[in-house]
Amino acid sequence: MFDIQMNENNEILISGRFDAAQVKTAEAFFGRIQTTCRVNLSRLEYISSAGLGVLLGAQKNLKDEGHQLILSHLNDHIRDIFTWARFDIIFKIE
Amino acid sequence: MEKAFPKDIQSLKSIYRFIQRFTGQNRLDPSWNNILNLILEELFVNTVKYNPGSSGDVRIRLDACSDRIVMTLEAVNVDPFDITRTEPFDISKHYQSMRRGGLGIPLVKHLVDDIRYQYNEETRSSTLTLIRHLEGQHVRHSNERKQ
Repeated sequence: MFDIQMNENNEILISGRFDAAQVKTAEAFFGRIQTTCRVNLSRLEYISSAGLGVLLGAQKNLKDEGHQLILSHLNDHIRDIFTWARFDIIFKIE
Repeated sequence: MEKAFPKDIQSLKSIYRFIQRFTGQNRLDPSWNNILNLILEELFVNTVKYNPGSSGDVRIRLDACSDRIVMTLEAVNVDPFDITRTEPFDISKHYQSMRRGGLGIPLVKHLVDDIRYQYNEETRSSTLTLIRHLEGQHVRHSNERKQ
């Protein structure tokens, strides 16, 4: 089950499976983000290229305004995908 | 195992459950769920996205051989698109344009060892066969003894 929300630490928490069916929900959420935010991926079980595209789009929009998403708490599967996708070029990953 | 899925993004949940049944029956490590799902989701979503309003299901077949998994996707009423002939992918150049799409097919090619594509002009149907080797893990069938 996919969920995306801001937690009490002002972190974006993405959990569950981020596949193509979740793109609209995620885009609507990121469309409201206007400042630098940490994205806690500790509960993200799966992400497909559709999800990668949403993150990339959000990052581009934020960077155009001098802000960014900072990604953190990647599990092994997510880290493998992000490594392949060279997300280290685009994102700060903690 | 084989199953037909309507050409709808909402089929992704059913596809994932289908994959879980397959890996469970063949006693594959659960990490294969995500690998197979990545491959099949990308191809299924492209079929839906680039053939809007097209009737007919996408049939997915998964076979576990001793050292490989064979994935077959058959779709009817689709335009031809041979993913074996897409341009080589350079991720750094891709990010220079900050394009948000375009990662799906390169990801599929990264995750599989072989791809075959066939298209039938008469029936407007495509068949994609993908092979992923099991890299040291072998499929254990129910009639094999553990060592």
